Amino acid sequence: MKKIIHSENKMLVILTAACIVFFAIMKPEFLSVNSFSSIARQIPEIGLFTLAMMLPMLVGGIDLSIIASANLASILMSMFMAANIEKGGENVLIMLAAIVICIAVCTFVGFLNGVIVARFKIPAMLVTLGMQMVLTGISLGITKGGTLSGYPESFRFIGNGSILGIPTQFIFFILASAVLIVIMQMTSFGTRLQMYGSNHVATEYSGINETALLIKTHMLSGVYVGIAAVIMSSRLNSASAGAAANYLMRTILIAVLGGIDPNGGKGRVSGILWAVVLFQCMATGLNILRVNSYIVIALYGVILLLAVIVRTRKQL
Amino acid sequence: MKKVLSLLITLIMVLSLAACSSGGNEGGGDADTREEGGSSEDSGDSGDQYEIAVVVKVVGIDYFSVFEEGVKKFAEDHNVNAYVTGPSTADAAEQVNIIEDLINSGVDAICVVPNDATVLESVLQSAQDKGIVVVTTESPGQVGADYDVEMIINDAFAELVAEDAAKSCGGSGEYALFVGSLTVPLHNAWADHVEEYLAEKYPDMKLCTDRIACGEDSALARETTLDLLKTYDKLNCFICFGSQGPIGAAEALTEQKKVGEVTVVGNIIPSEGSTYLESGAITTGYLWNPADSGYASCYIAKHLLEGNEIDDSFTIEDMGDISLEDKTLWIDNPITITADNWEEFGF
Repeated sequence: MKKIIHSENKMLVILTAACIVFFAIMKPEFLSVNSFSSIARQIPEIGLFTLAMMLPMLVGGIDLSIIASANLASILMSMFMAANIEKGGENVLIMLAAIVICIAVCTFVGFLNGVIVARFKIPAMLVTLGMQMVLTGISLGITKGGTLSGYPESFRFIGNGSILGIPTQFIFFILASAVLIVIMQMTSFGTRLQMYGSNHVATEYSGINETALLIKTHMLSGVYVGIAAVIMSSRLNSASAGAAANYLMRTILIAVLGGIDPNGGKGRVSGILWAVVLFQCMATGLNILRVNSYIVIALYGVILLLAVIVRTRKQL
Repeated sequence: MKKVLSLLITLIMVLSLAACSSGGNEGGGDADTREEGGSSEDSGDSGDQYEIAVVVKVVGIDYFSVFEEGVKKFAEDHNVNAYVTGPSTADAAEQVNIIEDLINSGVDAICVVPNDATVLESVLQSAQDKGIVVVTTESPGQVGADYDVEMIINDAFAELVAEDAAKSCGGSGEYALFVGSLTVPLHNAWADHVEEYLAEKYPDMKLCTDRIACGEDSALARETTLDLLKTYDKLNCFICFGSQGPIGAAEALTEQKKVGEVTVVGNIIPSEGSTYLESGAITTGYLWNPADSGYASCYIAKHLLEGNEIDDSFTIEDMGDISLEDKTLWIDNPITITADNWEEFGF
């Protein structure tokens, strides 16, 4: 229990509980199995994207190309499936190959980001912003602005099916998060990553290969983008150049809410997980309450600012 | 702990603020809940009214504000709880999330104006699986919808625009075609048909150059118009699909003092085009009434909720003939916007 609710996460847990109570009072339907299954269906995508955003943020960077990378990878995956599986047919091997392609593309994009950031010492914000434009351009060029779709049923199961009543994508999300917790806490790579973020000069002097570390971090982030891309395209049953553009800023919001220091160094996966739950409860609750989307956006902004203020005050 | 508490209090304050703003609608809806209970089989828990949620492409733009008027009017006329919701940017993934949340909040029917027809297929099907009535508009043949309703018949609409354009410029000369983008299916279907129609009926009218994608950007449309006027001296007609095309073309004509010499027709939002309609820079505008779209979607949803079938004899009051083609209802109800009538539309 102590591990699950780390003291840093106490605030998030209390806030989540407060949110649930609040929405339950405002609209009793919120406390139904259905709305929690709706929350469980929406969490994995945004959660995986946030984990992908968290890694570069831990080393003091950021990755603005995650959504663009996910979209390009989904497009290539869709094309591969369309070319090798007849419409309406099934071929699990091809499907798995397509998923591997998708994750590989995202990992490669992460590799490129990492190489440019590490070798040329350019701030990650600029590198990944440029990468975002390049990738979106390529995606638009391939699709001509259209949408690719028509997946086999087995692929759609990932984002639309459920196992023992639990949405499939949620199971993937739990597994992926568990793996990341292990990487961050039990491997030397995880330790070095956080050390680098908190003081990269000291890390350099202690003989850690900075270039390799940055490249690995971005590649690992790419893997998570790839998994998110698979789930997203399965759930939306399509791939397009402009899908889910809204998610980018939201991942930054959740990452900061979850205790990631925007300057690098501090943050834990468990914090992100709690923050995602809090965020999705709010998003779903506000949707059920039918709050105007403009107010919702402003609300997110307020929460981001509050989170940053509270977090930075802790440091002083 | 103090910090946690202060953040908690702030959050609750902000949330209640947000809730108040929505509570306004809610209160209004509840107040309308009267005995009127023709819905015995309705298991919805919000009283005995049907709850119809209308998900638009994006909230807060003129077009969908007028669309909302139609929904509100329907809610009043028919004593149902119908309301509009939607994403703040025209994002299909966001629409999926909203619809998913709606399905689980226990609505009876969902009407959607899809941002992307294929993206919504799965989520609409899961709504149907839960017994929710699904009606779409501006998306003929939508998979996952019980019915789709269209306010114009594309070919007839294109012919209407082409015919008026040809008459206005005397049936000869050269014309230019603007579309919103080369990937908007609707605009390009209209443009194709305009080309065919004019080639057949008015062979003296020549298309000066390939269609240009500038119809959603008035600045770009203005520049394009200026360039085209310089290049093609016989050019006397602009047919513009996409609501910003006619505005841009009219701006260019006004600058060049060519108002009245050149015909400009196309899609406009009446209030946006009003100045140019009155100066004559835009000859006529064409659209359908978004309020009608909203009204018709809800009407069909309620009709289905009451357990009625839709067949060839189905009609909606004041909306003219309806033709049923598979699961798509075509209503031929375009509006022609001129200097004299733009104020009537209220948008």
